[in-house]
Amino acid sequence: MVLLVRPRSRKQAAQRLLLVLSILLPIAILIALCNGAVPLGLSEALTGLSQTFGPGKDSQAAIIIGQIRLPRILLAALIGAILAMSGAAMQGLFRNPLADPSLIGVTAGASLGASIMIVTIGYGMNGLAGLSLVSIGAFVGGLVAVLGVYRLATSSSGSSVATMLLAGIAITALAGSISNLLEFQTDNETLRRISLWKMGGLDGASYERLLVATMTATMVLIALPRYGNALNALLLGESEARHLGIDVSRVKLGLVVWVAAGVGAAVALAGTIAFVGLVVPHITRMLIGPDHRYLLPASALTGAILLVLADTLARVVMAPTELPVGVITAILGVPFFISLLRRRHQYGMQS
Amino acid sequence: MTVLRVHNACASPWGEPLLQNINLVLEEGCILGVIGPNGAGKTSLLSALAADIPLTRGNIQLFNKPLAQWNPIQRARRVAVLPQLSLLNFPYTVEEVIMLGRSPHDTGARQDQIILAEVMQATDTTFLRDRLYTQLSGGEKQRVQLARVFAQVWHQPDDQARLLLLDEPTAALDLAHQQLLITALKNLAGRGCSIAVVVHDFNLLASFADQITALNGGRQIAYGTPGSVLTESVFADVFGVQVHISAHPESGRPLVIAAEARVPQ
Repeated sequence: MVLLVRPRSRKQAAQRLLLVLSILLPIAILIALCNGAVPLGLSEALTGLSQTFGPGKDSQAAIIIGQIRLPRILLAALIGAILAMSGAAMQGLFRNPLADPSLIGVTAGASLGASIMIVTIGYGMNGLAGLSLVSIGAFVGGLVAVLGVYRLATSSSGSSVATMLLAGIAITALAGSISNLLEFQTDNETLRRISLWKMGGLDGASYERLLVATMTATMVLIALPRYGNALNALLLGESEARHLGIDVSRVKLGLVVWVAAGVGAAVALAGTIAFVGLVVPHITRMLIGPDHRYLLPASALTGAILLVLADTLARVVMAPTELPVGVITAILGVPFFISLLRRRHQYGMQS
Repeated sequence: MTVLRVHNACASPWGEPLLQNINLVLEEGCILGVIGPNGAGKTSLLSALAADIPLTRGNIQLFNKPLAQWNPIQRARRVAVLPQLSLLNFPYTVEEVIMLGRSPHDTGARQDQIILAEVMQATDTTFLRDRLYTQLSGGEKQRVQLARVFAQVWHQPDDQARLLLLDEPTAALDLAHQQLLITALKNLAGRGCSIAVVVHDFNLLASFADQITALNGGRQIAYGTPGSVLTESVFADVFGVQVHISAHPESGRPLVIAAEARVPQ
């Protein structure tokens, strides 16, 4: 009933959106569990799900659900949540609705960091330890990139869109060429590992990856919303935020580190997935406004739902062949993004 | 209580000296006007008072405690700053922008709502409450930003002294809203909030300032009551222009009339 009444304020609209999204996420996960190369009915899927955690592990449905679909879907949800919340935080930090981890070089930096790690640890990269090291490499790479872009693009009068995007292009190009140089140097086996990893996607989902994703997501999804008030004040400008009692340099550093950790882990676990971090905060902001206390959690939920559904599409459109999920998010995201650019004045977004 | 005590303040944050040997004392509930030509150091002075730029020499005491020793939140509860330019380009509603002024405080939602209603009335922004900030006109944006900084220092439960720093608050306002602003400032000062304000309209400033300081090239040329600063010789010194000083027909305060501009023959 509460959903049918017109919201009186943005705060109410925001609380309502959070409620709706919390209901939609489990529904999206159920849809994803049922669909795939082998379609399952709802009851079959639920039975398979219960068998995964109990007796009857070896039934076909239990194997499909437990071994293949469940880890993959949960990984998609966690990575979607991380990417979307990181995007929302970045857009607030840069005071710029175009800031996105992949547009401003963070993704490329993380990619390079992970490649360097794969090359240096060579064959020992299987298992949890290897995965964690690659994630740390991606984290450091993303951090260096975002700090570089931030320093280049930000002056006392705010951040310039043009400089930010140009710095992003430069850092992406630099990271890409260093990556190529690395690949040029390495032996065939490592090269194969790098390219397999670069293709990424969610098809490599396993419980090991899920564990790393859960740990990172828990930290990032708890840490970032604590900057909600600070991000709200930062939208006014840095000195204005300082006059409102915000310790601006500490907040900036904290945000950059957490975003790099989140995006780094996402890149290490699933390769580059474009546009989730850009488009999801936009949709959410159109619905409830830019108040980060609600925008950050709502973006995380929307991102999780979107990536779970996009990944389901990726598994079924050309089944049994699977498309990389980044292809789907780009195909859906780009037209949406273009339409946002064309209609931005309708919802008050300038520049 | 002395709100501000500035002693021999010098600042050169980017190499060039922006402020040299500034001295002033601002008491509780008093209004200080800052005048000077473009680039005279008016905004630098406000930045120094807001602890945005460090001093190279001299010192600033805020509420009898060195400015640098204030914890950011404690300071934000008692000092609000209105900058010349607003960078906000995200679609907040007017209410959300104004409520940001309450974010350093934890006086509870009820108190915040009372203050919101009062500052919206004082700035004539009540009817804009649910509009998007990004879609307002320049003057409306300025009134909303004023409401935000008012909300920050509007009221203190224990009546502590407060300070409001305003950089050209009237620049985009029409005459009626300028007068509304002056009323609000006098009202705020009457309740113990001290105000330092940069304004280019001398007659407006003369109507409400208790003291005025004139800057030029980062130096303090004159400092005192409006009557002692707004003189023909100070205008010749600071602005290099000829003016006539008259008296306001009602208040008797100084009235500055620019001399006829002459085309050189």
